[in-house]
Amino acid sequence: MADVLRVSVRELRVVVERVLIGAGLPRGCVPAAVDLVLYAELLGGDALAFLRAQLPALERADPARVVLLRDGPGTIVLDAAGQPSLLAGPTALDLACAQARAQGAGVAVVLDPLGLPLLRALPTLAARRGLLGFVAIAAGRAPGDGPGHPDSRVVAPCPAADRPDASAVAALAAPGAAGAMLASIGGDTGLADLLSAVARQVAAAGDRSAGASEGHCVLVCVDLGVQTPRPEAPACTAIGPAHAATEPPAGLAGRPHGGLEDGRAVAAADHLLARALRAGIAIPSDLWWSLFERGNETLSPASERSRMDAGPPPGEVD
Amino acid sequence: MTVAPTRSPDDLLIPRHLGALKPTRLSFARSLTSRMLHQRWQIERLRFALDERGRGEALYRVHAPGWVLDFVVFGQELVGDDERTDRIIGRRWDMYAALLEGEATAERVEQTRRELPKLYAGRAAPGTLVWARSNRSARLFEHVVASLSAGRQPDVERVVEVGYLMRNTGLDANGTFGTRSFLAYEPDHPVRGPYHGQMLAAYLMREYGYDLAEHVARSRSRRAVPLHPAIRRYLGVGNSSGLGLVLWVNAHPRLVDRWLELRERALSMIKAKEIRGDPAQQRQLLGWLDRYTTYKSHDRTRYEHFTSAATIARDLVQIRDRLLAFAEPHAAGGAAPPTWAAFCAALPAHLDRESLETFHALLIEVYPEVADALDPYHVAPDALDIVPEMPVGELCALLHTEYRWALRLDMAAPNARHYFWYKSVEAEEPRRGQRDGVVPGVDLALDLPSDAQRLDADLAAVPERTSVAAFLARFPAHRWTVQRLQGLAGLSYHSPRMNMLDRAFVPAHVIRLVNASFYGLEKTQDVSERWVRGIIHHGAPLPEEIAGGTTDDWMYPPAPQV
Repeated sequence: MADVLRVSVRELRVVVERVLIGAGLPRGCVPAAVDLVLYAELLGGDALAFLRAQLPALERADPARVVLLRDGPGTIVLDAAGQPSLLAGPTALDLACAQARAQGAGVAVVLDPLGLPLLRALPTLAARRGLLGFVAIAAGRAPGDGPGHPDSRVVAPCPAADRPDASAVAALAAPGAAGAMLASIGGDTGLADLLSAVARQVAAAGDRSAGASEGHCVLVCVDLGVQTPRPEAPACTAIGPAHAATEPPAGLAGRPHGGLEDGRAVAAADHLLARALRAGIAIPSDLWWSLFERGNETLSPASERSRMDAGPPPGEVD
Repeated sequence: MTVAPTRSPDDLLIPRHLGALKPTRLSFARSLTSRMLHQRWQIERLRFALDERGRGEALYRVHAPGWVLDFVVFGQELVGDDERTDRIIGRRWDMYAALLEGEATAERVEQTRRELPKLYAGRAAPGTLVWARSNRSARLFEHVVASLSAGRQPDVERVVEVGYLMRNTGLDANGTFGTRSFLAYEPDHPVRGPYHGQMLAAYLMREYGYDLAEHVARSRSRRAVPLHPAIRRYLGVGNSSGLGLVLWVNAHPRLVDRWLELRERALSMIKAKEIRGDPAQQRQLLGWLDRYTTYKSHDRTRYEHFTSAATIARDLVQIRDRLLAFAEPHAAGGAAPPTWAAFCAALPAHLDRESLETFHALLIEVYPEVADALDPYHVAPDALDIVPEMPVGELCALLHTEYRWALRLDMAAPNARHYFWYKSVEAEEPRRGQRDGVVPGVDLALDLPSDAQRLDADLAAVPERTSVAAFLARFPAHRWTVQRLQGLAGLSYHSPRMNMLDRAFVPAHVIRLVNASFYGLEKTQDVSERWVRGIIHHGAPLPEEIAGGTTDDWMYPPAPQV
């Protein structure tokens, strides 16, 4: 068995951020991409291994090639054109969330993204925004496959740790917010119908992605009316203890405040992150240190000149 | 409760003004000490197995309500000066240590001993809260040891001039090196306040320094005497901070906003109070002014960009005189009773900013209940939420309202892009170099003015009703800027008004904001614009005083009388 070590959420963020910066991803795209990798890793591992494997492609990435083909009012279609899902995923999430907030539900199809498995994290990221998210992923054809649809299936309707409680499912099954989404994708009512409708979307997207080698994904976001609390300007009378404003995540039962973690807040639904904060994240040692070294390539080499760029000369002690 | 208006962010967030803010009861070193005193923590030395030069191992145990924390120390002795540095790039130290939850098992002690010297390549033992390391003061330690071993106390003048025996070179926690994540601390955790773990480690570092000096002195001479309690109480722990704190401020705007907001809120609540409301508080404030003036008159620190101790002492005398006159009952009837806000507004304009902030800090001291009630709110969320459904017209309005200062900066001006910021492979030390290509590296600066200006230009290229999501699909490189803009909307104090690339930018002001106002360091001194020295726990109660619940008014200590 490979040697495994536990890293903190903070360490994982730092290393992934450096790796992505070093790979040349536009700086403005990096934080959202880090989140995608983090949550994909928390959902079942392998995201870091995948990231390492995708580094050559990331170095060739061109965000301009990710094109919004259609922006609602029906299904949103984003052509990733073989570009990394780390670029297309956050864009799809933004688009689906915006539509969900406006119409009750949003559906975004991402065609031909490189690195489909990372998109499994999108429902969890939607949950952090107070939305119910589903994702269906259809892998691309293997070389030599004949024509026809790739295998279409809903692989991550909702991560187990973020599965909505009974009331959320009931709300989904009822007419209302979910109904708008079901209507938009031709569904009926109920969770099973919804998933079937999502699967039909996958198949339909498969038609559009006939030439797509990487496959595609469908992201569905539903606004159940549970908005993520927006930060308010603290006023003397409005300001309250963090525990009054932020429900403790179940993974941190009894914790009376939202707290901090390297500048990140724990959303109420974010059980995965809470668990990782408590227990760390298990990563194969060799994988971790290889990414660590890769990230360190963004650090500047040591030199006498460089040493003068910080505090007093090393020999000057207090 | 009535409150006076808080200050404008356009005024408070000027780096020089941020650097003028002083430690208060809300600062983390202070709030930790208050907690320790209130709960009467007990600190005991369980093991001290060092040789005559201070090499070996020691163990301290902290008893807090329901918790035990162990501080395991590995003593070394740096012999050559080439090994000694105040910077984080050092790879050997006079001591390194770990603050552990629960009792230190042999296995965890051994893991700490083995792993800590590797720093970024090392892994902390389970339940580690802090990794710490420090050096003996090059200016004072040997003098103290020599004096004690000769049977006398050290020279008080030198004690006052330096202010510490041990000099911190690193306090790492919250996930770094595999330490526990701050967010996961239990509700009753003794160090669940921001930076309380690091401040406790610094406190124990201070205690170890005293024990070490006495131990080495005893090893040298049977005539050795212990260090006088007044000197032990006076001294703190030396600290230096560099450019990393500027990067920290950039990365945690919501925390910066919250912490400044709480400070300003406390001040505004106090300023709304009537001066003549409570004569005892007036007397108390006069007492604080006298104590601080004396404290500054003993301050031997040389300041470069910061205000001299003499100037502050002189200004405080003026403020004291005006206070005596202002607090007198007004002869004319019917006038509204004067408030602290009115008093501050009437202060002479020529008073130095640091003097004014010193007065503010003392004012907060007189109304401890105001600050103490706000203290729990320091723990706050720090994530930035994007609002993808927002129309770009609204985003544009937000940009022009809240970032007017950034849009106005001329980033094409000569020297506007003089510096770039990077981290070195040497202990990941943050550095700032000229943009001349001699030192290669990735620029880590937050160029908020340029980001805002580029965003503004691209926003103009799309219809106002376009959603932010659709805008970002076309301009993905703006995503983080937009997220920051939206996530901070409506907050006042999140981003210093600075162009950190500019040749004229002085990082020391922003470093000092964190060191002094947030952490609570005293005598913060700038060195070469980008380096701030200071003292942690300067004058803090000793363990026996904490166990006894001494009163919480130990700041600004006078020179020790021995």
